[in-house]
Amino acid sequence: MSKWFINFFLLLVSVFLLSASIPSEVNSNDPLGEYYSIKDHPKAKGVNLKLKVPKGWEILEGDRPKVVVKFLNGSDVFLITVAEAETFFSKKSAKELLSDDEFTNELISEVNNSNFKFWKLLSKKEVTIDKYPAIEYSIRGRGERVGIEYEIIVKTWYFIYEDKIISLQGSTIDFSNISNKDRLYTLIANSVILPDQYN
Amino acid sequence: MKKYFYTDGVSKFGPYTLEELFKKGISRDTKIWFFGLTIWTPFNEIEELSQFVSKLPPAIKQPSIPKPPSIPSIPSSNNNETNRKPTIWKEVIIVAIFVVVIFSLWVAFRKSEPKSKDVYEEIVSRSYDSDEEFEMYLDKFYRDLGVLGIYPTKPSKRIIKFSNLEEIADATHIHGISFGHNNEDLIEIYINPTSWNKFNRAQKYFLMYHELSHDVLNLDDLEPEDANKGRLMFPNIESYDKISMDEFIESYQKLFEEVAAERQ
Repeated sequence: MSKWFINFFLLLVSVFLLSASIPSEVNSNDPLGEYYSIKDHPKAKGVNLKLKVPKGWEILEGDRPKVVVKFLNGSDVFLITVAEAETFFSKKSAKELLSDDEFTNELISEVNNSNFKFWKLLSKKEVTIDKYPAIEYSIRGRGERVGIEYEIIVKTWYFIYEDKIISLQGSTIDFSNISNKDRLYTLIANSVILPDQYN
Repeated sequence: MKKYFYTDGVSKFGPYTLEELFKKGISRDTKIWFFGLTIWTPFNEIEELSQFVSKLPPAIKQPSIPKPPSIPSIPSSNNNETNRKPTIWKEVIIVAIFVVVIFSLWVAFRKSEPKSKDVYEEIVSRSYDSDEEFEMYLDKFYRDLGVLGIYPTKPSKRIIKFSNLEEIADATHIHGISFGHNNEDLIEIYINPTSWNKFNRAQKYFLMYHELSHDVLNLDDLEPEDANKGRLMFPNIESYDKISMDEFIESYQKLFEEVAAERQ
């Protein structure tokens, strides 16, 4: 009886300590709000992905075919795009591909050459998005629309989920508090969950 | 003393002495055999008995002409007319034996070849349409073959359906079955819905690519040995409790690479 009581007491203490050591998700300093899921979205191509939306930001439908959804706050935008890959990639083969500088440099050039008159790579590194190998890169670009020139900073995470290419892209044309924005975009990318990898 | 046998065309009788033979009501045309004759021969054609022909009456009726044995069997000493049975019974017995043999062969045949036909008909009769997007698996299968330079014919006749295989005695353990093997004009696959509903995503892909590899690439199952476990054509998918998409992707890509190498 006493042995059972001691075990039960130790279990209670463990649970208490464990819960106290994990930061609460409901934190007033946390700029992120509720999860948003693109599951069953017609443009998600069957991808089940969820991520947290910054508090106070609008959630809007993507304007372009591959843009599933965008989160908007003034001139700050966060896009989620899903495109078809030419075949399936395991995590291992995706990592091999994304570790290939020649491939990733070409990819980054191709995307940005079509969008900007001028652009400059600020950073690039291999990271992980919810267990999936990814590349993270930032560029500063100069573009033009209807005669209006603008400068933009774009931070992108690009990864391959099975046979889909997913990119998460945070951007701003307002360079004030740029480090806070960079941190916010990173937090959004870090909140990504791909639940179907466990099914 | 020489012994003689005679036949009525069906049975043989004897041995008898010549005197006894005359008492058996034989005629000049009755066929006789004794040691030394190679075939049954009418009494009046046996040279050494020609002197006795006049003792026998000529045949009243045209005798039946049974086929003589080419080599006479050695007569049993117990044979005599008391063992004679009516000819009709022998025919009935022969016909009965023939019928039994034919029936046995038919049953044996039904248990082998036609059985698969029966199972096929049962599977088809238990199949039904559903909202499951089987075509999506088919499209991806062809896409992934194309990436490796394999371009099999995509037939216009494609049947991929659920079928309640667990209701069929011979198919309870089957997750899916393909009938389009070696038929370029047809893809015909039936999936067990019970298996499907308990499979995870990777197992579903595994099952579909496995069946499509049978159907489109005409590949056979591998032996169910541990060495083959994890490969796409390993037949015991139920042994994969938790297969991941990565495992599925690596297994099908390995197979397709092998197929591509063979076809080059």
